[in-house]
Amino acid sequence: MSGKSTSFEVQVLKDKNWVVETISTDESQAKEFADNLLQTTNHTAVRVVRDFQRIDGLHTETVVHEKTATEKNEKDLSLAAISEAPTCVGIDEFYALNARLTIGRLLRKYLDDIVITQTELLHNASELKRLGDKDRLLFSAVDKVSALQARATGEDGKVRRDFLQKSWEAVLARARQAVPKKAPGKLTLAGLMALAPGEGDEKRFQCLVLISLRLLETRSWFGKLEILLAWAAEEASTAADAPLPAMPIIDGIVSDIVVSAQVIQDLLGFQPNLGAALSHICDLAAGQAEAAKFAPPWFADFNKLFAAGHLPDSQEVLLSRVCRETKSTNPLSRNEPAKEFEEFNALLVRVVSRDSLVGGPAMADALFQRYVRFFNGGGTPGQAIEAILATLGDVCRKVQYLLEFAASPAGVALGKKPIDMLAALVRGARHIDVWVPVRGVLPRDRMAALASANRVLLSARVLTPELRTELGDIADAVMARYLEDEGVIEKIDKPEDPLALRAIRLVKFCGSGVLIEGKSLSMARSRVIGHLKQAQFEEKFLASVADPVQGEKHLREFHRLLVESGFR
Amino acid sequence: MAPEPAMVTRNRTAAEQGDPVAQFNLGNMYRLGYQVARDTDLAVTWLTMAARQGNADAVEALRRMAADGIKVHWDAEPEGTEIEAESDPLCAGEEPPIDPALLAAAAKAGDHAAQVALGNAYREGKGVALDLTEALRWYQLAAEAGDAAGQYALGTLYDLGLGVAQSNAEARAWYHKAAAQGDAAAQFNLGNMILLGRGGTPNPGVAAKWFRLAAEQGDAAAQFTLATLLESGKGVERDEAKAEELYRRAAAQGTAEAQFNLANMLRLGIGGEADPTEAAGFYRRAAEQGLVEAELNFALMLAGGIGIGQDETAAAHWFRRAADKGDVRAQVNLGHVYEQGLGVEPDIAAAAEWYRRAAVSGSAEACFNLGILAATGTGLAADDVEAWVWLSLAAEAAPPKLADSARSGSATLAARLSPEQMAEARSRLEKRRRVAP
Repeated sequence: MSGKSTSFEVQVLKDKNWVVETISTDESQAKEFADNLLQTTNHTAVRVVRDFQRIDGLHTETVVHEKTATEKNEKDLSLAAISEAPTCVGIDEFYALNARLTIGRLLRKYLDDIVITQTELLHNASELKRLGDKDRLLFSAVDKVSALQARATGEDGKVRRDFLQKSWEAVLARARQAVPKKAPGKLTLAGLMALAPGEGDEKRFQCLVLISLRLLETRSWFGKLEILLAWAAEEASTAADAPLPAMPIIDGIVSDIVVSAQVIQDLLGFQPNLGAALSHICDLAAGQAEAAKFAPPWFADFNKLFAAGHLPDSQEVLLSRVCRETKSTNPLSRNEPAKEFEEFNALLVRVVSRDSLVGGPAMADALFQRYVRFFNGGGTPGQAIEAILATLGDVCRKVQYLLEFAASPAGVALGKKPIDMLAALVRGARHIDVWVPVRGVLPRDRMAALASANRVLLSARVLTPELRTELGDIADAVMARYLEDEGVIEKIDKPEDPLALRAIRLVKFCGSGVLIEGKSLSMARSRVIGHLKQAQFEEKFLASVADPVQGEKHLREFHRLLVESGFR
Repeated sequence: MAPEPAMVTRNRTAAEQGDPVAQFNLGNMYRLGYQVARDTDLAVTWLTMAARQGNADAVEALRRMAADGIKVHWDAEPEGTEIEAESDPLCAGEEPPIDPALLAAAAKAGDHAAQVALGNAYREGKGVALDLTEALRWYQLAAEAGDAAGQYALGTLYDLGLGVAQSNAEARAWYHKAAAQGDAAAQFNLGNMILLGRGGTPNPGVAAKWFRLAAEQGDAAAQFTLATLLESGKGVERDEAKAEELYRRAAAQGTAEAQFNLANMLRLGIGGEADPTEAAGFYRRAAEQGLVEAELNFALMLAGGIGIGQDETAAAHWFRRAADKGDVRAQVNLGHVYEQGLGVEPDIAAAAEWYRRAAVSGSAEACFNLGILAATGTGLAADDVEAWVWLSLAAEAAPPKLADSARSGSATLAARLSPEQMAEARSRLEKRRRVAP
């Protein structure tokens, strides 16, 4: 026990100074209070000082208890390093995908710490205020984004910063105005949307305010995703003529969530290395993924939404992740360095198909950057492209790659080189065997791949009209040569088969899309026309079918196919 | 001044010739001050050269140096592009940390998966001190309770003699139990033991059945091995189409040997039309994984422009990679590359050295080439005695036409040699014959 002349000050460390928090006359109470403070607040240290008033009136101070929160790691909520921030001009753009993606990446640590999406942040006044009060985080974010935007546009940095600050205030004011009088509770999506007042954009905003309130109740990423999946299922079962389609809203919030690396990892389940993970993300974005070990139980439902094309924004976010990771210096095969090229090859083949290049020019660029960094051995960019092309193998894939690469930043920086390489490649490819592998691909798929290459060449904006025609014609000539060399038309139009069968097979072949509008299609068409021109074609057609009723049916089918295949 | 340690000289010589591993070694020595005076500038220089050739260790070392504040710019960035570092990267492939206490508790409670996991931890020394006896004990508990993973793991210990006396019979028995329960790895190992006749009579037919079961479950090693049996018709009916399909499946999973065998089928047109373009692609993939035969074949395709654009510089690179690993054919080719200056600066001394290495390993062609260089004093000191020895060796082992040339050359030289020199030459020839592989 202490007398009246003794008191105990509980002090906390604030900005390198000890500040009195409270005064107690009981030592043990003071110590207990100090310990409690240390555990429940963010103070880095606490202490208890005994103050003893002597008979002469002087005070003697003794520290009787001191504890530092050494075990408590102050969470690092600093901004992430980003090197580009798309420019925004109106307040509406703050809510759009690009802005949310930038916010999601820049404030990653902060958002992960409190587990809220960018949409929730932008549509909730309390969360906006919380961010504004978070030390200098908002100020730094505005500063960083304005600097990046000013650099990209040449605008004055201060003007840009002022604009962003004012926009922020407008976003905050809009959110404050939209605060509902009472919490919506755990309603269905339809219920939430029905509650939202207004029309058009305003209704959409109000919906997002209510949706955000609902999602803010769940502070786990998977918890939020499960709610969104349930809403997506609900949306799928409701009438398609709803006043406000919900799927784009769901897509927007999902796209916010899948910005986070941790969420993606948890979604993917076990992946042996980065290369496999990136291929798996491509599969998911295309709705072709299968759940891996440790993936969440609702993975298949999530994948189906991508397959149905309901999540275009989320797909874009996932593919932008694949691009950035591909471009980075993180090994694709960290555990087995000898497999680095193997993983690169697998990723390359996954994204560059004979029909398209997943991720477009940005992906072509990312693959190039990775190749230069990991495998080029100090060679020139031209050598790197040559090596990537060699890795791709067949000309169909090479064409897809070069066309996208030519439109990428690295391709543009190389001037005419990518186009010259493409022209030389196609001019030298005079046989189908170099366009598509000889083995392991069905003849029909070989022709389809060549036809696809022809289409992509003819529609390529990076080529001049003359070059498009020239290169497209080469692909057509290759196809025509293949038809001749392999006797493809003769195999379809076997003289020993009934005329009806031959005619239907031929016209189906013409309309199958595996032929190129040009020499090759003309060859097949002329064979059909040859049949049509023969005297009494229809009689012969009907006579070739044993059952007259079936014969009539086949003839009608033949005429329908003729029209579908462009015969007039 | 003290001479440079041999280890440094060896790495420096190879590093200067472009070997990425040697460049990394040398750079790392400068980084750490090991065997040489510490020199960060030289470390960055050599590590950068290695990193640009894709050496992952060098990339990691440079990353560490950069983290220490040393200025490092190794990535050759093309103009007009800016690389944005991913500030929130994916960390795929990282194994979750093992909590031995948690595992032990579950294992003691009779959880078989935990027993096997704990056994694995003891076997690999992860989270606990390496202890094979403990590993054996935990595997045994799971195995005897009928757990397939435990039976397989126990089989491997008997198979390899780890923590227990090696026993083919025990290994086969445990593999069989696990394999019968559908464990793919056990099916493959059992198939291998049966194929090789370990613990019984070799029986490729029975082995193929186990390989097939494992292959159907996606086991790449089983797919590859079964494909080799199908390709050769050993124990099963020969089926090149099926072999190709299995090679493709194993190749897609990154099995270098499958990629190499598939490339051979494609190059030679086995089981279908030849496709040198696809063959070159598979050789490249296997070569990148360090399969020496693939390195040689890929180099040969690059040198000849077969299935891929002719690139002598790249060919020289791949010949070197294979030659460094002791591949005699690659050494002869690399000697030729240096002699003719194909994709490299002509260097007769280097050519002679590579011929010498190949000749010592028994290459008749290298013996002939080295003999000619020694006789003419090209790239090495003229030495008729040595030249006679190499040409005589070539005459004994080379194909007829080359052997004739070698005989003719050695006869010419013999005429030039004094009796003493001839005696010396014969003595050296004998010695060479004795050490020849």
